[in-house]
Amino acid sequence: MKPPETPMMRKRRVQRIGLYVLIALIVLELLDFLVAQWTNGSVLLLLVLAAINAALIVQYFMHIGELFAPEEETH
Amino acid sequence: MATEALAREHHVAAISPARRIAMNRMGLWLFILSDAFFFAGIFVSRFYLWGATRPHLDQVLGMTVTIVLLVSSYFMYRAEMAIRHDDRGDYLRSILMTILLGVVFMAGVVGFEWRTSPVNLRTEGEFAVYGSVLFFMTGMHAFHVLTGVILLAILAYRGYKGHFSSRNYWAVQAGAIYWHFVDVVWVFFYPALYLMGVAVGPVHH
Repeated sequence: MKPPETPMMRKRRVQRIGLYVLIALIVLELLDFLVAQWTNGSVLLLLVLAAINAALIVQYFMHIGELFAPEEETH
Repeated sequence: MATEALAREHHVAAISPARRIAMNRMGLWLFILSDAFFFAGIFVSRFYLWGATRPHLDQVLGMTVTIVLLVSSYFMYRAEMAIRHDDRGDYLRSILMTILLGVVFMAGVVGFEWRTSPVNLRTEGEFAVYGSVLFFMTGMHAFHVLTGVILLAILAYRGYKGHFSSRNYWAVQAGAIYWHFVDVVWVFFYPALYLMGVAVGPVHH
């Protein structure tokens, strides 16, 4: 049986999620740069990559889901 | 008059804390939306004025300041999660790191890019528009970073004084949402300024 998660364990777990998001964001920025070199600065592709980046930030860092959550669950 | 004021006071007091936070959150997102429209206008003007071209900007500097801002967003997230779990030490360390990275970003853009850019506000002739757009986009964004840094400094001070906890962290979350929004704007501005289209005009010195 798994031991119950303490607040500190929970904090570390959610902070680890943030670290994974950061790594994804940096990889996408590097991809941005490479795509720009390969495609001579394709506006469409770079816009798609920027939108993915923005979606990750809005979802994980800005917690947009809390905007629509029941009031009791948010602070 | 006094009765009206009393009635309003009573109404405000009757709103539950959870409801008040939900209303504050909605208000903040509406502000973010209005600011997003402002930045979207600048973003579109870049394509109207530059088309499928861009000035020769320092690619290493562009990538570096972008990564610095992304890392700052991570530390802001870390600070928010720390205070949500009553870890004041981690909160203070993380928010101070965010402030430091914000200052490094501003130094990179305003201190280096503005000084070394091959186009600036004194550029004349056919390339004058490159300087105008570059300085307007980066200037308005840097202004938002500056206001964010001031806001975070206030949050750090209040955190140091013990004003926040796992039961009272809305101010921290609001500051974090604003900071991440500034990051989202740059995620679009960076490729628009440094990567999209073909580089033309004077070369970097």
